[in-house]
Amino acid sequence: MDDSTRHATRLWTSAQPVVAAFVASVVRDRRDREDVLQETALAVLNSFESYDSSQAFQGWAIGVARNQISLYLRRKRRDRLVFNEETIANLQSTFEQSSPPEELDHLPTCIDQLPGRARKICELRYQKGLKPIAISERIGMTANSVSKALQRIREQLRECIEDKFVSEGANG
Amino acid sequence: MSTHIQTLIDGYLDETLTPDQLSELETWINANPDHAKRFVDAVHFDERMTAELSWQQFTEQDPAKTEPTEPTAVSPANSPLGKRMAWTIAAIAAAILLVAGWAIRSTDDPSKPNRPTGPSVAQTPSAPVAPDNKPDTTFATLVQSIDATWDDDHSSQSGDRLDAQTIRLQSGIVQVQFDSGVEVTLEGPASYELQSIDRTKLAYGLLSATVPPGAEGFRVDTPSAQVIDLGTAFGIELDRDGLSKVSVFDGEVEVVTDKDRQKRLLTEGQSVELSSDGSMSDIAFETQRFEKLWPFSSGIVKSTGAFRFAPPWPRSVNRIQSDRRVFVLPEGYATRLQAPCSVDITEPGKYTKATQLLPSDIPTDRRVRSFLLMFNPEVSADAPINRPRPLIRDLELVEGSITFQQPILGVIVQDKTLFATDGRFSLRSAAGLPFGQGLELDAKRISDIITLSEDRRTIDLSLMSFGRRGDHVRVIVDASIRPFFSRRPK
Repeated sequence: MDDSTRHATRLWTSAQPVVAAFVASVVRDRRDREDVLQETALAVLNSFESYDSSQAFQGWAIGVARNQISLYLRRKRRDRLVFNEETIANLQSTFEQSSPPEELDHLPTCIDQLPGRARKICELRYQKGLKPIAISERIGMTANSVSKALQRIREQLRECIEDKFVSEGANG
Repeated sequence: MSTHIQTLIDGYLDETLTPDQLSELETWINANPDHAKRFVDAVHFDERMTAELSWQQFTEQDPAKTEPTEPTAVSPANSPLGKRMAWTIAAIAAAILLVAGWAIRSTDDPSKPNRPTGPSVAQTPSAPVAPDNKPDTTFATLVQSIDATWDDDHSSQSGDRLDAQTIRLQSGIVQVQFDSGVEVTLEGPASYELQSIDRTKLAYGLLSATVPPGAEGFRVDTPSAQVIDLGTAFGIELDRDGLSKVSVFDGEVEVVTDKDRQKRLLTEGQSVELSSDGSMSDIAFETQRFEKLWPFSSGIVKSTGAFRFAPPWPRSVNRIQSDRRVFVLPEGYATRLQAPCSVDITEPGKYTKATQLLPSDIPTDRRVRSFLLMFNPEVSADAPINRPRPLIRDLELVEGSITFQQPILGVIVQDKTLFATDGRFSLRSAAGLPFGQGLELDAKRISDIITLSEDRRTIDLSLMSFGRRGDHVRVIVDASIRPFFSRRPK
């Protein structure tokens, strides 16, 4: 591995969470998302020579991801419900300016506080990547109540991390 | 409005929206930059949830145990059970690799430790000063001194040859190598008397030693007992009340109390406590006190970056997977090679390509110590997202360096060479080693770099890791017993 690849990898490692989130915002299918991200990582490494270091790397990598998303949509668009070009472009520029919110660092603590069933639903949704309908089959709830439960759990977690974030700030 | 929009966002993330709802969400997102920002934050939240829960799954469960995918009712008790299971497995597998070393902590009678006098390396009256024209009475070498503060100005330095004398340390760590191969690491405050090549006496201090095969019978006297090594390794800890604890890490030791000549044979995993009056009782096995000395007693000078020493006990190779960490596992005792040992790298330099490697042999009879540097990326064992190929998105750079006290004779990085030497140095079989392979030099431009320093004591590793694979490097370090420094005691 040469120094340029090393440099590229370093930059990619730091930009990867936001690029991944951008891809995830458009490509919801978990496996497809992994593929698009994989292709993006490869494209970033292979076209690193064309990266102008006066630009922000995150923006450039998100641009590369955008191309990969377009290629994917061209191949895949059939029955899938996806955002239109305007929305994708809007998200692209929003992600370019974004970074994962700091309060998300409190998520592990808040997840640990979830009661058993809520925790189970989260595991099925986020660990196993199941959709509400598949979750409902496993835990004997209707798909609709799973969706509602997920919404409540997220709300609860969001409040929890914000509380922790605020109280941490107050403590200095 | 807020709740309705939140429902749309959640619905989008959970893939349950109808086409109409999707257009409604799009319209909302595009209406206002703040809306787009709110949506983007929701995606960040979702991504982090995935990351955290996948991570927690891994840390709570035995990686070999795959999650059941059949649609059975799931009990919430699942994950504590998984945790317990992992521990059981760890306990069973703990015998794979053990630290070779034993330690003593001792307190003499209260007057002694506080006595501020006496040279730190005091020659006993019977030990002759050894001017160059007199017979050499030395039998040990001070091989390492780390932040050592000696009890007075009479301090020894790395390389000094030692004869019968008492080492007194206020703080810091020193390591002594006896000409028999026994290695003793001492942490101050300590007072340790070298009487002869196989008899020593610890008054107080924390002490760790390696007693290789052939040096059995090496003895450490404590205020209330004698501890005699019967081969391999054990540990002792003596606190200030005159209470001592003997723990055996590996092999067997014999403990003989001074008072009534009570004898007790201890084997690995056992601990006893000796009170100052000489009575003996069984206690729980515990090694925490010794862990600090462990890297030094293994001949490692320092490490930076991603290197971590594997805890000596209990240890299961599979258990010590940790992201961004290169674990350093000493493989058994220093040993004399019975046959040549193939290695891939012997010359200083930076290696990035397989073609740069120059396979050669370390000759028979060389006394060496082997270390396994092991990087095991933590990966989710979740079947649905398992891929035949590694995901480049998981690619991470792990860098660090490790410096050994003795010269590195050879480095093994290739699969076949690693395989050929597996089990050769381990105390026991290496069959328990996890999936792991040599370094990936020059594959698809994304590869590992290994650098051997000019003085052959430091290895720099830069590992590109991804997917479910581990990088292993075996380092063969010189363990010759010799007065390799010319300095004599003054």
